[in-house]
Amino acid sequence: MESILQFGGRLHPMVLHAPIGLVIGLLMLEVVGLARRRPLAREVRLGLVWLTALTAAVSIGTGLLLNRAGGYPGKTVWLHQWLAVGTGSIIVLAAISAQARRMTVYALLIAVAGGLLVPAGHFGASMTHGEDFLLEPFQKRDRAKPVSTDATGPTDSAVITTDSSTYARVIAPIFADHCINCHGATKHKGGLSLHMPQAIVAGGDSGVPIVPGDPGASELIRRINLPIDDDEHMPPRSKDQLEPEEMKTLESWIRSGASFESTNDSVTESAAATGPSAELATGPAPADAGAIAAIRDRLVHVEPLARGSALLVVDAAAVSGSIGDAEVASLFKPIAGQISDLSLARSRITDSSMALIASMPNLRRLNIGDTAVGDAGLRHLASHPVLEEVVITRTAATSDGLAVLASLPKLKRVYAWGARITPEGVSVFRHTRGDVVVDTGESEDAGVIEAESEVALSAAPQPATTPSLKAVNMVCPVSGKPVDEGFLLVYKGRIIGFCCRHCLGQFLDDPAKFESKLN
Amino acid sequence: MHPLEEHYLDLTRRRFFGVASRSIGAGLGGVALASLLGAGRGRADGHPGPTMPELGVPVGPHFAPKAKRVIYMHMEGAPSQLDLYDHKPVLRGRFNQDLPDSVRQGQRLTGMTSGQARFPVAPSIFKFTRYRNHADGVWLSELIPHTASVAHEICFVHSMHTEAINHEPGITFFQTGNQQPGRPSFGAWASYGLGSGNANLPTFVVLITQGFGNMQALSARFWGAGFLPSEHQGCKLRSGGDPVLFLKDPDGVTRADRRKMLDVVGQLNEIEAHRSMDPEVRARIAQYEMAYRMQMSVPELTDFSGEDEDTLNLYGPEVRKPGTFAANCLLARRLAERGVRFIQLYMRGWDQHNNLPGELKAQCAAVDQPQAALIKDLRRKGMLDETLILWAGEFGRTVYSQGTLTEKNYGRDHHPRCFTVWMAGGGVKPGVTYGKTDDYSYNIVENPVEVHDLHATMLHLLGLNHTNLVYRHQGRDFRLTDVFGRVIPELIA
Repeated sequence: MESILQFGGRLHPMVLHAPIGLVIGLLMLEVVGLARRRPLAREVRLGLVWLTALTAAVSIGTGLLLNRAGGYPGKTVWLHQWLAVGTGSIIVLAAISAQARRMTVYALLIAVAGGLLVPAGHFGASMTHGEDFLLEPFQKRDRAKPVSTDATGPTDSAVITTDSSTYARVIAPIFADHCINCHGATKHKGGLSLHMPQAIVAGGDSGVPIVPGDPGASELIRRINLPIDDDEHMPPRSKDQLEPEEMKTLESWIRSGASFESTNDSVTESAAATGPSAELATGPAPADAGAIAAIRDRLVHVEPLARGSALLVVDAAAVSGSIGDAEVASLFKPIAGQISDLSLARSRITDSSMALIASMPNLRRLNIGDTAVGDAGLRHLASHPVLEEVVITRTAATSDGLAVLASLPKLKRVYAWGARITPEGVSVFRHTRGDVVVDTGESEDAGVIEAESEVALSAAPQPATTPSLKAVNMVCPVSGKPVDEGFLLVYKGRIIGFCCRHCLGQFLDDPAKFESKLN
Repeated sequence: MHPLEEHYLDLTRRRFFGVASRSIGAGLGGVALASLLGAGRGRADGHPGPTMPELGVPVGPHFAPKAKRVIYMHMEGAPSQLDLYDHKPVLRGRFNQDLPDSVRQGQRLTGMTSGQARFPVAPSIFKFTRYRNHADGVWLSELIPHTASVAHEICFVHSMHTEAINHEPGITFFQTGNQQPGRPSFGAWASYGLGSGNANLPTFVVLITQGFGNMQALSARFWGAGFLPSEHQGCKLRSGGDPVLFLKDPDGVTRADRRKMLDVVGQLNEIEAHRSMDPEVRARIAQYEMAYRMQMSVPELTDFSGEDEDTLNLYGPEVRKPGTFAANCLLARRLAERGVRFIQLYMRGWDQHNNLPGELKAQCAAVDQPQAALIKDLRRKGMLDETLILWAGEFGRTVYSQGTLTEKNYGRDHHPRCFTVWMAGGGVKPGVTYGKTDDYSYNIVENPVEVHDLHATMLHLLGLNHTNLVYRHQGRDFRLTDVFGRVIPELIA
């Protein structure tokens, strides 16, 4: 039933055009008829006006069903609904007048209906296409002017352009272009509106879309970066997609704190250089194919970080024993700019490879576990701008080497199990960099919260599984064995018990044969 | 592949028979050869499969992955969730009572217990302890103390359910996303999606440990490539003696001789590949080359002499015995370290229809310390974050006893309606539990997870969109998750 009602509601956008066309057509015919002094034949007029009334009624009915499903915002839908109901009623009255040959009333009513159609239709359309649909082509040009205080143009502009903040000039226009038709003042799909700061902060069904300072944790950034055919990707596949530049801008605005007041434009320009998805969009130039082929020839594994990314993941695990400083220099120098994740664990590299490694501008993760690298090598890494994770397990690194890593601004994790680092060295490091996890392999076991003492099994009184159905007989009428309460049959008002399913079946086949045994 | 290119490359049945008969002399001979090469994959229509990517060129990842590889520990036979993970203290007071009909709701049973006169509740006789994790703690059985010690790394899913009620379809469903055999396995899809991470080793490796109880057959198709190119199929390493047969060249054959032989065979195969346009010929060339390289890489892989005493002790005393779960866990870590994408460990013998307490104890003793050691070892080597671990059986076991129930002994039948699996590392949210079952661990009451959801979530962690990881076969695109599957964000860190 529910789906039929929904289906009915969805017919609304289709049927509503019929009464509109009919009213306009009728009006035109009447006007032309008046001008030429050849009024419409009565049958034609009556036919048309009743047809108009009928389609108007259907449109209103389906419209009410559609509104019942919800999702349309208060004021506009209220106006649309009552204007439409009004128009519809007037058309019906017009039809009745025509039938009763009250031609003046008819003419008046049909003219009023034509007039009311305009606002009724307008409010309906603004719910479907967005309030600024009609005038958008003109307003878009205005928005291109960078510092106009009325930059965002559309009806929502009053709220979002009260100042000259970065938000108002740069961010709000992106939302206005791509988002607020569905997430605005009129429609708020998924409970989310992005047309004004208060609405953005209030969030929607999936929570608050932005986490100031952390684009990675922001739902909005996640959604726009999903593959285009992912159901959660925004904007939806069929709509205009964000430009890479716009994505970068949104991301850097969030990274810089997502302020609605700040006027510091630099945040949206320079900060865009960091963050993985920003680089997926811009990133370094693709690595030289010849260099990659040379690396693969040596059976060193190279793959893109993700499809379409120029950043590379490099792992020499297959041939670690044959990779030394010379190979690192010859193989990796040409792609130094693209390496994002480098694993040289168990290879024969020494401190002398570390200068090249430290010069890799996009290196986020480095694994040099089980190598001869020591403090001298780690010193090269000092202040590396983007390095997040370093694995120095079972290397010659000491507490001094670890201390060098404290200078890495983006560092999140160090794996240092089996290196020559003293507990003091670790605690000094943790003191200076509380935000970095140093894993020395001595992770504590999960503690006990509570434990059962003894397992005592008991059988509480068995609850009656069947309401007291008691057989009238003690022994099975077929076999003569004791009755099992699991096989009961109501027969001629009495409950008869059997020993098994088989006997019950036999009894049913020919009750008369066994009935006598029941007495 | 673009339909136009497909058309351009098109090999019609007629063309195939024609080409094959010219090259071999008889059409049927060609078909026979093709089916031999295709290992019964039904390629006799000669269609190369429209998505014929160059060998070794993966289709993904679609986005930056959280996990680079998977270690999937499959507990063949289906371990009892009631005795390991799904703590139901209330059942202790309902010993030997009948399972209420309101709980069973007439759901189907296997033929092994459907004839039982009654379904007496068998509470677990094992003590449970609540361990600290990153949520409000997790109750775990006394049988798995080592696993409990890493409870804060593990994400337990108590609300797993499956469609199959017997082992064969159950394992097939978990491995391929379909109960009927024939689809590619999860590992094959991962290989197809992500490609190899180590050119000297197979992309998908299978290791098997024999259990102590009732064991079900493990067919090779559980790690088969289905209709994917056969380079993606799992490579089983043998558990005793040489992990790979004929690794050593025979006496008198030098490495150079072997190379020369392979080069000549490779040239011949190349001619055949051009003539028949069958991608399986190329797959075969690739496999010969892989075998040649494995002659060098496998001895190094399986040689534990480089592991220090501390590491060996972590995995327990059994680690020195090839084929034990301990040895296979250490081998899994070494494979992971060497960039192998998908490592599947099978532990057999969890099918405790009778004598559950005794058998379960033996099974747990074999896996508990090694699996916990694997987590600890990966963690300290900085690899846990990029290695996704899954521990799962093909279904769960019933709360009611199969056969005689005493205070010391019971058995449990198959139960697909709810069971527990766990994941760790690789971008999984650590130290949490997800989903709830009713008091009898019979039905799910909160957050059900189906096999397709698990697959979708794991592919997501590997940087693959499960709806995009497709292969066209027999005229339609196939996926591991078929037309189902939902990524479960609550399981992701």
